[in-house]
Amino acid sequence: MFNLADHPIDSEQLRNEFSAHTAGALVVFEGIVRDFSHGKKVVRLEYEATPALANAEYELIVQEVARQYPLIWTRCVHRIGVVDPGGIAIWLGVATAHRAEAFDACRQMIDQIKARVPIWKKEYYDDGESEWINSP
Amino acid sequence: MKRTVHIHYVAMLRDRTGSSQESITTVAANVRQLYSEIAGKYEFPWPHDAFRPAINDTIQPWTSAIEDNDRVLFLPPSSGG
Repeated sequence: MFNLADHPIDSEQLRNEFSAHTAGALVVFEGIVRDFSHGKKVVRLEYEATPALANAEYELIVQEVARQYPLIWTRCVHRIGVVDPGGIAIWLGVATAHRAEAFDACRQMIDQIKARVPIWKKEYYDDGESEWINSP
Repeated sequence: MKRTVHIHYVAMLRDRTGSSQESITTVAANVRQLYSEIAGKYEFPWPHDAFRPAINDTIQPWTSAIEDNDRVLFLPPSSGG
């Protein structure tokens, strides 16, 4: 399950959604907003996304990763709107029966999410400048 | 044949066009031709293949035909996380 959140991500609440007793491993990735980027001090980020497309692409990624790893549970929330340094931008939980495949599947999922899910990040710097990241 | 399509602009495209959406009447037959028309109108500095086109909330190839009342987005490279 995937959703976009315009409010701070509650890690504990997300963790508590997990209750699959067949899983022996739950790997959680939290993406945190850094206060520096490209040699500049970041004062905030702003995320935007297209909800229907983002959800569809996430589901495709889950299907692809599930062909390689026996996924038992996945959950992902990504922030939209303003996120300050130190805030959680993305929470991803991946559960499988054993730890090795949980680490690998989580790594693959976060890499694919960052590359493909239609979410865009604008960085605002302390010099008043701002920049869309990965702008063509 | 003229069609009316609804284009939604996100991220740097919204900054460039100054609006989040517009409806235009076009003779473009496919989404590639539509991008060229829009890129010319707003003097986009980006080639079409910097983006992924989406029609009615589905990512499509650039050769996809556009129909009357389609909702079109040009998705910039993702930068989530």
